[in-house]
Amino acid sequence: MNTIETSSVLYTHYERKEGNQQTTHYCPGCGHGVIQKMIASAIEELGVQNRAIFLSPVGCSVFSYYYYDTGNIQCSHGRAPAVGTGVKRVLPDSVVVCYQGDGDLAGIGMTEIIHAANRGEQLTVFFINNATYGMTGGQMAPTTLLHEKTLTTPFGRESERDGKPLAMAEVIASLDAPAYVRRCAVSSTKELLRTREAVRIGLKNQVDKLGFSFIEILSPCPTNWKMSAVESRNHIEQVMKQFYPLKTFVDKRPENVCIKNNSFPLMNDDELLSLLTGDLTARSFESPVIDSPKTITIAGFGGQGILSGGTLLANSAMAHGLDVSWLPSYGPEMRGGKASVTVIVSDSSIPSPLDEKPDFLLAMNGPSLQYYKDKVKTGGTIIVNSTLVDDEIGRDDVNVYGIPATAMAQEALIPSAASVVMVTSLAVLSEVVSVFSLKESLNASLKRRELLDANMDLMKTAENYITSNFLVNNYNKKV
Amino acid sequence: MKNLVKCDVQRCKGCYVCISHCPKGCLTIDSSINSQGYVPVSTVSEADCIGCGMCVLSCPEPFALKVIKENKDRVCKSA
Ligand SMILES: Cc1ncc(C[n+]2csc(CCOP(=O)(O)OP(=O)(O)O)c2C)c(N)n1
Ligand code: SF4
Ligand code: SF4
Ligand code: SF4
Repeated sequence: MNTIETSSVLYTHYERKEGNQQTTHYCPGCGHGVIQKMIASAIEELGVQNRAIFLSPVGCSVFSYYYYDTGNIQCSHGRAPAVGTGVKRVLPDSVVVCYQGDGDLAGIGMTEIIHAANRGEQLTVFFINNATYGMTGGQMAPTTLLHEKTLTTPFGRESERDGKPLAMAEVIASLDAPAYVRRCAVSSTKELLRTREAVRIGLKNQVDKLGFSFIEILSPCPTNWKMSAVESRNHIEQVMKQFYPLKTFVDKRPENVCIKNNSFPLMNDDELLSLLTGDLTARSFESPVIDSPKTITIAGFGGQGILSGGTLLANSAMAHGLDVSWLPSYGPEMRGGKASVTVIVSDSSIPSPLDEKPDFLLAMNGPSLQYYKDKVKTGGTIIVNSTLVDDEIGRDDVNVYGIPATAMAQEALIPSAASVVMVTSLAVLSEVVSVFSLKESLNASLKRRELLDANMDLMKTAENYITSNFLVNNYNKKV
Repeated sequence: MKNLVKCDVQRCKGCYVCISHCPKGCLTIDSSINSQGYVPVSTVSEADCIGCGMCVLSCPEPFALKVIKENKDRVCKSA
């Protein structure tokens, strides 16, 4: 005895679904169900259920994860190829099923699909072309046929006004990288059998690591086409096929070119750090004693090295083994506009990088002092760039220090390093990071390594200035 | 040599795509109505069924149809 039935890759009972858990949420006669059953069968035949990851799109098939007993991710509208790229590169042996409608893939997601195809990602994309935005009630899709009336083309789609229907299989086939591009339909017995074959080939290509496969499937939407299920199949046969020829556009299987392995090696934090910081070996120092998370805001104008000052501080805190967040904020202009960075350091995880009330404010110019000074926490510290700022602070519940940062940086012939002076002052005056770790982190934080020595000298100058002028090196002890 | 076609009437949505794909006219519209309000399919002339599986392949609803083949000679694939 031999049974023909739906593949067990689909659940028989849809626990995630509300209401009737025995039937799909699709309208009667919808093409999505037919195609999804075929994909399930192909997954079963290839024996890859335990490494299959189904990417549900936005559209009527948004709830595909109700049905597939595989890995599932529900992607933002049109982004499945980008999600798939990420999944595939960290899990090269997964079998990723990108399942997308025409609004999803050819409308909002055009960028993602073109670039994934052009990179030849190891993905299988099923492009369900029902020529309409089904879920939202039948608006024009990029694939809607000419003269077709939809909610948004009440006079019918006209090429002069709405452009011609986009033939995606042809578009994808025009690229160099894809390994397999084919268009099928689920309209007749013959076409169903061909579609089943194409679905298998598309998934097998991924298992064989042959590259990017794109299967466009003309699929009925009886509801928005305002037809019966059977009529909608005839419509594909008689009308849609005229504009969307069913054929194989690209088939590189005979060439059997195994595409390059484009996944990244898995790395731990130390390996990543040394990759990103080049020759610098990641060092670690004893943690400073901070009793609670500390927020440091460095603010001024673009060109004062604000963001790099934040990077230096963040790197140094990381070397201490602390958790760190680094949140820059700047205008569109590279120089002269408002710039600030907020660094949070903590000995436990940081829930949010946003903190409007800093413990330490490093005010590099007048406007930023005015903007931030009242936000500093009681008992906090304000370090002012006294070369540019002589404004009144008007608070007696914070510690205030003035450092001629700009003058010192100019004297050292590196005017963009004023922030280095400020961060050094912070290290001397607080226990957030040590001056030693700051110096050790300098190399990894500088964009221009040739200025390392000059910056190091500047740090020493700043350190001496503060120790001799303020005589204490712990702000807690200062009255 | 007898093949059986089974419809799970609670899963059928009455779209009748299967009827239009059966080459042997084995399926028809039933006279009952299911709890979802759909009129499901049922089998007529089951004896003519060749076990081709096209009804299962064309049906949009998982597990609504299944074909049990008595003939072991033909290789068939799940649909
Ligand atoms: C970012 C975003 N924009 C718009 C929408 C609204 N929206 C939901 S589904 C959809 C179109 C889906 O059409 P298609 O991809 O053809 O799938 P179908 O529903 O026809 O299967 C749109 C525009 C959304 N959910 N998210
Ligand atoms: S609206 Fe169309 S595409 Fe969406 S479930 Fe219904 S028939 Fe299918
Ligand atoms: S298996 Fe073939 S012959 Fe039998 S009922 Fe289904 S479609 Fe008809
Ligand atoms: S195709 Fe499936 S859902 Fe449609 S009538 Fe036949 S058994 Fe019912």
